[in-house]
Amino acid sequence: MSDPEAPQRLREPAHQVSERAPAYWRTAEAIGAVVWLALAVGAIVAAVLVPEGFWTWILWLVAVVFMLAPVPGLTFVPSIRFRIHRWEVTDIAVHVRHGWLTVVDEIVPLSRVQTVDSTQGPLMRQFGLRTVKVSTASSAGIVQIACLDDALALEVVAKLVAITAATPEDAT
Amino acid sequence: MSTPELPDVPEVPEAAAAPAVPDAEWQRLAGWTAVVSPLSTLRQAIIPAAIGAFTAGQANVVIGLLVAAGIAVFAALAGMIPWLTTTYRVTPTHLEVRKGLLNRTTLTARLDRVRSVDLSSTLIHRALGVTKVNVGTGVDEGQITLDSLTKDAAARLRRELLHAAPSAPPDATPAEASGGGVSANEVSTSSTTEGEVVARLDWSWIRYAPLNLRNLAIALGGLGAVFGAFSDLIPWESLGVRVTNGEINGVPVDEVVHMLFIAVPIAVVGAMAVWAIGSCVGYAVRWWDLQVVREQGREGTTLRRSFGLTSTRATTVEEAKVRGATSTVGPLISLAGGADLNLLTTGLDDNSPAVLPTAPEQVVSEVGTDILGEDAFSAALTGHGPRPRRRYWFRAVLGTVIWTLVALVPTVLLGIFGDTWIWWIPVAVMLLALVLGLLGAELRHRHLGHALTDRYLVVRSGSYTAVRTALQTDGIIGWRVRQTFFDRRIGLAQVTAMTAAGQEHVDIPDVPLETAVALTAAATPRTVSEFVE
Repeated sequence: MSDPEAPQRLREPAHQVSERAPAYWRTAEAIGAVVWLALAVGAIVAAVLVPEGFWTWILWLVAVVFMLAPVPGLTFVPSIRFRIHRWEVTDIAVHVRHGWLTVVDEIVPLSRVQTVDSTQGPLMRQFGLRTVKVSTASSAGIVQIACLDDALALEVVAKLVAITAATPEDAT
Repeated sequence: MSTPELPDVPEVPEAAAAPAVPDAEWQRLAGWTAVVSPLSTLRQAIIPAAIGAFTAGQANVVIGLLVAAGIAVFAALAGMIPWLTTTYRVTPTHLEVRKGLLNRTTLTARLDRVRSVDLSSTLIHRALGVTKVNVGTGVDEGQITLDSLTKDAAARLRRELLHAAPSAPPDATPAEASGGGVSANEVSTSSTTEGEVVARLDWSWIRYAPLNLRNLAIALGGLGAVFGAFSDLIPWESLGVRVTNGEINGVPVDEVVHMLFIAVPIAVVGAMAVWAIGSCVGYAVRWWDLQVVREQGREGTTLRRSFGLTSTRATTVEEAKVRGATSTVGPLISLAGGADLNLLTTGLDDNSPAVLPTAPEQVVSEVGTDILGEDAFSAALTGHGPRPRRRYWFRAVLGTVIWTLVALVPTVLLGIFGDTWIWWIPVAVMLLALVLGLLGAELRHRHLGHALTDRYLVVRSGSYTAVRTALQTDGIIGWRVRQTFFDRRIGLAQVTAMTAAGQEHVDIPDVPLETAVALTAAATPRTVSEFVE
């Protein structure tokens, strides 16, 4: 900290996530939107059927909010997230950046990695995506590289396993 | 779904290289286990049993007694099982425990992975001269419990697990250098020495007992629960509070109010006296004969803390696994100059165990220095500038105003339609809340700070309660730097240092981003520096 030319910020990790990730996020959001829409329909039905009172406009408001709730996730949010989501694996550490309103940088040294997993939900399989999960001895220390190309994700897992196996340490 | 797990423990070759020595006999638990475990099972079952017996007893007394007896017999039989089925042995390399009636399981722990041994005895254990042993091995792997061993067997097991000279060739790192304040001549002393006393209970510390608001809250909560549980049994009707025509039980309201003016202060003073005495007695019983002792262990030193009058506890941890400590100063206790000292460690069921009860800050600082190996708690802290302060003040004002407005709406409506003007209540509450809120905000700002010493990251945060955490930079296993939308606007960041010890994360709130990045890079240069621009 006494360093005169104090470094300013964390640089962007080198790689972007898969180009198919925004489409996947939109699709996942669309599936969620069905639920929101159902709730909105419920609110409208209630507003029409229930005898009028001060609650009627509240129900209409709720219906509108429910209908608008998924709109950001269907339109501009995935592209913002795609711009922000980045990852990098060096010989020493993993660095992941994600989020859109709240942006999170996570750095974990590979010498402290305990397990490396990859997961793929059914929808992710349709898009050929895979998430790499790196966990440490800390319950707060679980880092995910979300939505990589399937093949690339497996490559990253293999690389991480190779590096972490080569640095035997107690990891705590 | 491929889940390639890392072989983080090279288990197989070593086990094969060092076969179990034949003379390591399988040993049973203490004979008294057959008494202790039914009793502890019974204690767990006592409330359902009482309820069952009570409900059945209301219909028929004989059936009620039979139900109670049946439950007791069942508990006694179930409690016998551990003694009949559990055996253990210590080989030169491993601790092995076999247990289970239908599902026989064998638990095996490498001795060099054993991090802590915890001996605890309730009053029942002590009356029978036995103790319960908890062996902590990994980080999240849970513990191996042996309930219960005779005192001698437990002491022997503890020595074998943590203190016996390594009979196998020392394969792992020879005594991690990060151990803490170990002088060179200590290392050469034999494992049978009594060790060096790090801290001992001082009875003058008992003055902090009544100031402990957390214990007060727990006591009040317990009282409330007991009261709630038995409220059905209190004959409210016969107590009979009847309000009629401005008279309460036939006494005019004015007189009742006068009585309350006398009765309430007496009740408050009485309650405070009861609390003062009760908390001191509780403190004495709990912390009786507290000692923190440093001993020479298998790899490096160990710390042993023992205390208790009725139920006793003796916890031993490897000092190399102590990753840091926290010093907590509560609101009332700070006025009396006290503080709490907790360790950050791994392998216990409570990974931030209290080293001492609340003690004078001087003592906490000395013991902390001794355990940490340097005076990290006294490191001069760097504040986080004016931006967090503005944020805290703004939040305090905004929160108070919003809640006051929310409370004002119904009260004003009540005034307009009900002609009961009580709008002044929310306003008065607002003024009080504002004062407390702003004080809290200012304290939060004043307490905020961090420092980096030779081996420790030191962080202080909190408002009315200030917590100072010293975490070994070697114990940091990752960083998280978070910026919300509002953080980005004013250039602050929320930094989390991940660790395996204690609460498993140390938070540094509201740091200016450039300071945050510089701090992470300075604390763990190897990891972070390549990502800094």
